[in-house]
Amino acid sequence: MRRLVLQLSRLTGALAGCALVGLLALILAGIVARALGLDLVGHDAYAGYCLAAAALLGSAEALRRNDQIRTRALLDLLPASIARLIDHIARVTAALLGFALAVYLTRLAYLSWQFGDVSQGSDATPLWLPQSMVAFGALAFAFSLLADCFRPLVERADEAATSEWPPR
Amino acid sequence: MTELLQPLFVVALLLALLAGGLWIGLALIAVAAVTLELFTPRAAGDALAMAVWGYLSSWTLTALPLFLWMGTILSKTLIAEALFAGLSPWIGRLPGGLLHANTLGSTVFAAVSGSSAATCATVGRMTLPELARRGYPDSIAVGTLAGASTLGLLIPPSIIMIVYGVAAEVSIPKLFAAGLLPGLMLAALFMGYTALWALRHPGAIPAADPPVEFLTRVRALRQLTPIALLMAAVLGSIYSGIATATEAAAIGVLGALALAGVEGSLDWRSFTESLNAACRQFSAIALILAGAAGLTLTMGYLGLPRDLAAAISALELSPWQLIAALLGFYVVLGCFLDGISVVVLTVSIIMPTVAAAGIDPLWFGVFTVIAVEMAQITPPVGFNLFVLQGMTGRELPWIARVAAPMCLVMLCAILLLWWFPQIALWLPAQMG
Repeated sequence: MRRLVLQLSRLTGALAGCALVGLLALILAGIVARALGLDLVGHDAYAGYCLAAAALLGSAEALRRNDQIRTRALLDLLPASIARLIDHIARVTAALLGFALAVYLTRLAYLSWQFGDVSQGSDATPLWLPQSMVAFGALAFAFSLLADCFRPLVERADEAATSEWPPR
Repeated sequence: MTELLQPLFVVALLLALLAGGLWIGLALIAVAAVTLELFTPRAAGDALAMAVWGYLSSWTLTALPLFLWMGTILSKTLIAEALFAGLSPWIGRLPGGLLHANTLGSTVFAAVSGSSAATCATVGRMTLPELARRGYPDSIAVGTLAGASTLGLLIPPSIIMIVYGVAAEVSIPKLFAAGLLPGLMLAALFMGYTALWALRHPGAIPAADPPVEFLTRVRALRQLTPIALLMAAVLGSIYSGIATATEAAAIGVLGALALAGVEGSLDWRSFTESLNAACRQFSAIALILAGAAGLTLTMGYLGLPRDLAAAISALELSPWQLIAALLGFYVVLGCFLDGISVVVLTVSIIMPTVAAAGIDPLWFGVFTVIAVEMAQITPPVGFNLFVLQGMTGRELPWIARVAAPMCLVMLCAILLLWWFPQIALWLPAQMG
């Protein structure tokens, strides 16, 4: 199970990288096109889809590499045993919320597909395409949050030491 | 009565979830969902999914991951070394000597980087070991770096300004223009503080190097050529109006890649590493933004921003009192939350109040950013403190103490901005 979650996280992380490269390519194409006096239909909208996809697809990796943001300031004031308990409750709550988010984002994509929703802009993209990428990212995030509940505390501490955010 | 209970309930739930150590973005989503479900007829799940999708797929945010990527590429290059080599011959004989490398290095690096943590890590990697080797006291070396590196937020490009601009519906290029002069002013104040400290502690600072010939100094400046070109490409294209913030960010990524390529530090491994790090940093921020989008929707339903504006204007505070109160509020909030969370949580709620008081949203943006800069170096949660803790191995309270005078310097900057708002507003007005 944990191996699978790890692979899922790496896969979505790689897809997020592709989305960001795609975003860069779209913006650069827009600059070149404008210089040449061409009009790229809907490239703003495509950039938005890449952005949303990158945001959710990268979140599992961000969690695994300890880049997600939370505050431990108040937990650290409590006795260690109570803090550990609250921390565990927070991780279980996070997993539940993660699955809720994934379910509703999947439902959003499903409804768009069922009703044949297309973008309001000039690109007229069927919205379920980018939305399913977002939902996939949210699902991978939810599974990573679940795996995080079972992660031994020692390992958590180790990863805190290797985090790159804030960059060292 | 219920009118008062609703906001109290929302705030209490939010504080409980945040204090419990839940990921901030998820905590915001949870509060939004519970509030929508309890107090409105809307189906919470679908409404929130739509809000998250709508917000994250909007064009306005596209500059954000690109500027993050530019930063992760540059942090792996030798740019900090070049900065130090180019600047140090100029500052060696000023009172405070090479300590000014912290401030000047941060100021220049801030102009190609959008985050203060990245500025702190990149500049400090070079200056801290060098200053220690030459015998400068650790306290002032770390303190000046902690303060000056927060300029990464104020001097454009700036991640936090993009977030503010989107939340407050203010033009991002204009915000970037508004931040430039206050940023330079703050840098000058930091340098002034450093010089004063050095004059009051004669003997604490090692003797200056022998003077360097003028031509040699000019030649040393050539080391800054790549970073200057990058700065000109990114900021020049925004200020001249040729490019949007997003396009400038894309140019910046290309430029950073080119810089790394010329330097020979660009290969497939470093490319994917920088890309990965940028994606992760963006996702972490995006989760908070997604939560904030949900919460903003909910607040709109409850009419909280409008009620708050009405309640505060009933107090008949002068704008001066309002700003002082908000500064206090930001500093307290900034003790426990990171800057981006502070901005997304407050700005959309507080903007109607600020507008009603007749405060310019651009000016307020600069004010907010400086308040967040203070938050970066106040314990227990201050990102720059964490970075410095990792780099120096010192205890957090020690770093917070040596950084504390820099908070006072920033307070001076806010006072100056209050008396001379044109410092922030003159440049954006020139953009037409």
